Amino acid sequence: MSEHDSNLEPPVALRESLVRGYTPPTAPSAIDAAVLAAARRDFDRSRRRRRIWLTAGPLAAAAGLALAVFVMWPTTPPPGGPRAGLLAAGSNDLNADGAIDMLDALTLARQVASGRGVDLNGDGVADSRDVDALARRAVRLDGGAS
Amino acid sequence: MSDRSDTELLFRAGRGDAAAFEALYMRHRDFVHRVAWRFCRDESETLDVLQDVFSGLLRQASRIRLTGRLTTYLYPAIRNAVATRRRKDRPLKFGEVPERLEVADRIPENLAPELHAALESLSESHREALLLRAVDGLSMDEIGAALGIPSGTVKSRLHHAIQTLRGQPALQRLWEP
Amino acid sequence: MMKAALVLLSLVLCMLGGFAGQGQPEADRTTLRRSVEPSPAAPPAPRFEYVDVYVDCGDKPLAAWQVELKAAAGKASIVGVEGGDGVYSQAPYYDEQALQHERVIVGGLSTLAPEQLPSGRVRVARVHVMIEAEAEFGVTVMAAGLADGTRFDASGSIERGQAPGANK
Repeated sequence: MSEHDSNLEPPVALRESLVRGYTPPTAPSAIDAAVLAAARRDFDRSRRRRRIWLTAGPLAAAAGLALAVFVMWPTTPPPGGPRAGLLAAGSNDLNADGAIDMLDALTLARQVASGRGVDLNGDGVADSRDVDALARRAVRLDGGAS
Repeated sequence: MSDRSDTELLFRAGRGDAAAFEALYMRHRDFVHRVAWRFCRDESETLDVLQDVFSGLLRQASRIRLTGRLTTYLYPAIRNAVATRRRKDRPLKFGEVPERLEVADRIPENLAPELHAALESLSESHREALLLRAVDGLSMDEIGAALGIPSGTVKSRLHHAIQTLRGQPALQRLWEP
Repeated sequence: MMKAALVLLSLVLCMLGGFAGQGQPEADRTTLRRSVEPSPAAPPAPRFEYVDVYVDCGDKPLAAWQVELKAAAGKASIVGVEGGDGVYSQAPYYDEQALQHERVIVGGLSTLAPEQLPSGRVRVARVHVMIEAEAEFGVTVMAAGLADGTRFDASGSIERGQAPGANK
């Protein structure tokens, strides 16, 4: 069934009748003025807020950094310490090829389609949401490290 | 500005470009007005919804991740805006649980009686697919994105709607060359 | 306790600075009228283009694909991602963190039967980009697979275009 199938294309006369019938009365031009004036007010407010941030921001950042260095320097933990929150890289590598990518998502999608699959998001069922979760992890810029 | 894509205009509007927002408004105002009118009781409510939709768009411009035409975002936004207004119109009684408010469309009285009756005989979902295609000119994929359904389902609904109308003897003239 | 308070205070100050850093360039902070007619002193406005991403899979049916699209930092940034053609016309998977940055990983899959899957040079996605300085894009196919999940080698290519009205 292609998009240009005649069974899917309303004939011109039907289209014209529907367009005529479903065209609302012309909106008063005051509505344009109201929407656009509200938008301009909003943009102006945001601009004023940003100007304040632009003035105060660099000073605050510099002070914050100086304070952070002063406070944190002596107690910074040594490198190589434990890194909590990392998922086991192999847990979603369904095809066991050492990488988590769209082929794992495809493997899971096929399993789900045949009524099997792994419940990755912990909601108690293996379904398309698990496929989505795995696919989204596969395309993460950080490689799905967290 | 008028030759820019929705994606670009939305991106610019999200960064504070008022001209980009104005261009988006002028491009999609008629669509929002027309669709809102289908779901609203009168013109006054329609215009309120139109303002609600664009004010929502303005607030969310920097957060919307557009993956198609803006109409696919606007259609559900219009329905939500109508539902939100209706909910405000009917305050909950103490202890009452808010139900999911369905927004029904209305069939204009100025249509020819036989076309009016034929549209009335369609389910709302079939009528919705037909109108998005015939009146608003959306593609199958865009209708699917706007309604949150696969484009195969859109084709099936559209096919059913057109076949139903085609089967009405009083509407045969619409198929004549 | 005192130290914790100081750490908290320094974090808050750093965050304030971070928010300020997100302020947009002067050229964008214009009023309605001025942005219609930019002043001659304003820096050149960024240009918007799209990059169509293709996976060439020869005669093999493409059931899953994943590509990385990259531009030189500071010259182009990604502003939107759309689907490609046919089976892959729906919006693909991508990391929203890529938006407003120069690198994105995009992927898609289909569980259709092999005979319904596309082969040859398949347009899998359209990436909208904002160009701030002349930028070259590179595409790498990270994965391509058959319906049974078998990985195969495929090449990637791009086509750039400037059709602002394309998704009006």
